Amino acid sequence: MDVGRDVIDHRIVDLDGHDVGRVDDVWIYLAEGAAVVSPIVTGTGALLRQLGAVGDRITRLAPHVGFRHADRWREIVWDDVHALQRAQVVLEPRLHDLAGRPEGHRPRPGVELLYTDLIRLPVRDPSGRRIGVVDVRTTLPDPEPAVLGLLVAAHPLRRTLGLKRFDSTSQRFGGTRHHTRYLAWSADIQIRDDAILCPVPFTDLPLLSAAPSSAPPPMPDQPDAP
Amino acid sequence: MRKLAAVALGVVTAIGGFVDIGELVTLPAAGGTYRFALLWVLALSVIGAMVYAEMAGRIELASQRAVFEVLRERLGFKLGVVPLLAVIALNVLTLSAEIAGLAFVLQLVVDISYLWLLIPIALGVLMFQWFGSWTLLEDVPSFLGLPLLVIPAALVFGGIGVDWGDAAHQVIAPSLPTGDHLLYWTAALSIVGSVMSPYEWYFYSSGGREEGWTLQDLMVNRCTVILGWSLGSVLAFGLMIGSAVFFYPLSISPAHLSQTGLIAIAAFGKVGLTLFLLGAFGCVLGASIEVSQSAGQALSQFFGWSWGASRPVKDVPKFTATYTLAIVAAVIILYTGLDPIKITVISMIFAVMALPFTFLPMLLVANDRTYMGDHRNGVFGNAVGVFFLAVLVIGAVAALPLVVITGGGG
Repeated sequence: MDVGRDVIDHRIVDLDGHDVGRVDDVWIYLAEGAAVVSPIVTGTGALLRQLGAVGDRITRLAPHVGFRHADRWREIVWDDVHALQRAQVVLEPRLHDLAGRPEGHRPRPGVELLYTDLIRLPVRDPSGRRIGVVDVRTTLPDPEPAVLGLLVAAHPLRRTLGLKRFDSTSQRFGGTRHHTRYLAWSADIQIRDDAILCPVPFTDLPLLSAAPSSAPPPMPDQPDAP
Repeated sequence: MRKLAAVALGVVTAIGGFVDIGELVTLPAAGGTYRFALLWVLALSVIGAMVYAEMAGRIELASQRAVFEVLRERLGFKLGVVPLLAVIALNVLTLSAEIAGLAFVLQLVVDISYLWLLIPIALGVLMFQWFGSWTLLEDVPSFLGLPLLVIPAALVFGGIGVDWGDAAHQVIAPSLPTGDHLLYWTAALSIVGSVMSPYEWYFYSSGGREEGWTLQDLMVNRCTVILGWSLGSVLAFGLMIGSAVFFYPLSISPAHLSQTGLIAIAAFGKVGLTLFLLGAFGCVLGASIEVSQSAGQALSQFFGWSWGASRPVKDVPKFTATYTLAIVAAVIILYTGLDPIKITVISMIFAVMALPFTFLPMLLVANDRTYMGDHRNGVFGNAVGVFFLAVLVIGAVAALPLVVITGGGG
């Protein structure tokens, strides 16, 4: 699956049907030559980070107008996820009250980073060419998704009309079937604070058609009540 | 049989719910000022509204998500927040106009200044939503709005001489006025904004979630949109044609509901007036509920809060708080002393400015196979969708200068 397409911004519900929120971000833990997705992040703090400087300003101003949770978020570990379905994350029962879970801890460089920070990093190939991350391809959760690689494109923002998500089955209306390539995590990539270093020239990277499958999570059996 | 009943109910509610205060203000004014010269804009807007309503319903059916849920997923927070803010701002402004419209209708009945009626009406609209179920909210105002059919009935059976041939000709080959071009185009934009209000199809799409539509209901969606919107547009055409026949020869541009009601009185006397007022009240009440619900639905869907008109208020606190605050904000705007008619016209034009921000994401989602599967837009759907998007982008770019130059449409 692709994290941006299949997890980020999707609805979080529990088995009792309570809405918990939306997936605002996910942590990506880095290990020797591998990475896993965990845990899921939801909350105002994670949302405002996505707005960059504007979000930072709102976060600073919010306490002055009585809103004291602007820099906080909640985290959900994959052990608490009952199922990942198309367009929703289903939690175990009674997890809609997540009080007491870790809130808003900051990234540890080289050990973990947030998805939204990862896809903002430029990717540089050996020739110095600057490309960008379109999405992160992973396995389906078992119990947590393992990162397989990055989908990269020369001008991801322009190609996707500035959209976060894309339809990898089509090129029309923001789709990116062509011109997007696959950078395997096992290709010895290096993640630095300011860039991702790709050891292979962009043009030598395989096209998406040669990448591991991006089968999305299954559809829910029944439509949910709102 | 169940599908037939669903289509029948959907069509009836679409007819009764087609007209809101925007149409009640802008269409008679356009008819009285430009006779049939803006009928083509109305026809075009109705087709555009149908295209996007069908798309919104199909997105809901294929993805099992309401439009703003999909927008958040597909566009992300950063980009998705743009249509969200546009829709919320537009809804509050439109809600002001709708609540003022309800007050105007009641003022005609009880002869008390509309300013005294704003708070009781706002409370009534609020209570209706707090304690009403989805079915009640959708069906009661729509059925109440049906008597507004007295206007087209007056044109057909009321002995008012209508040159139907000329009206039909003007739809296909309009003769533009020789002067006042800026006012003409401003009026055209306000018609587009009143007929293509985004809240209508967001509410419609959310209704699919409320009623648990599935892919089996694709045909119900299509029939409801095509039949309901087409028949509903009879009301809209009736308002403009009636005004053109009745007021244009007298050089009167009806600016108040009481003037528009004269068409019904001329044909059917007091019965006509009663039906007109009842229909106008039902239509505007329905629109008030739809607009406020739509604000709550949009925010709740975007942020993942629980929502639903049929769920107890305590189970959907943020959803309830959102539409309650929208109503409070709308009333505050009205008490600032702004002219409600001006608010209505400006909200219609603001709607045109906001429409591309809401249409483009829908078009993107409707083309995404990940969400739509085999039900994504075909070539024809995309051609029509892109055509209307282009028209709306041009309208959106022109809207602000036109409003400034003409002082809000004169």
